[in-house]
Amino acid sequence: MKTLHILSRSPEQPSAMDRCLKFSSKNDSLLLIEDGVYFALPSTLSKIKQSLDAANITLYVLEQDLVARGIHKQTDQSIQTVTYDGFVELTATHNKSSSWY
Amino acid sequence: MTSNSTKARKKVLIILTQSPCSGSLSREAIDYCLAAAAFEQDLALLFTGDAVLQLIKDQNPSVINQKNLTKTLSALPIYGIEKFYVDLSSLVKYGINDNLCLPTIKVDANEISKLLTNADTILNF
Repeated sequence: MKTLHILSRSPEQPSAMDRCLKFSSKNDSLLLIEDGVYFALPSTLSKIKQSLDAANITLYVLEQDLVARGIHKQTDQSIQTVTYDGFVELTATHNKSSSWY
Repeated sequence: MTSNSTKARKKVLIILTQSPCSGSLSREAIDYCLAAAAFEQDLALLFTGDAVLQLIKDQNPSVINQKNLTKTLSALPIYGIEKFYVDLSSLVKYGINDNLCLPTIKVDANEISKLLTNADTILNF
């Protein structure tokens, strides 16, 4: 059973990410959308990277939201971006999804 | 007339806290600035928290069907608004300390406290 966690809040409201990381399970996936994409900046990513790696959570970021916010060239190289089609695919390849905000 | 308008000139501190694409507040703040500038008020803007993200160049919100705030923001100096302060700790947090769309003065928590103390009116967006 794999869950897709969808996070839409910026690092300035850390409670959403805190809850998401606290309640996620090993091998789940995390998709950053809307203001959640600011977590993909290297300085904010470093704060969650350890928790993600420890639980083997795969991170995805919605490309359109990165481009809209002008940070698509500044995001960490290790990050996998997805388009809206990829978003749909992720929801299909996971058993369920959970939105955090 | 001149002395009256000088007397009525207030020091207004506008505090911006919201990210550029999260809602209408950041746009409303700019609308307020433009209106207040027309009445020749002494305006200062402080970008703190997520609002520092408004200053990132190269934004393209049209891909999510939103208007680009950066253009209006960078036009503010044309309307006589020239005091732009930015919370240094927020810049550091997001690692975006250079290449901003406005010429800003970086301030720490102590200097921000002074900005609030010295203002006649404070508006939070």
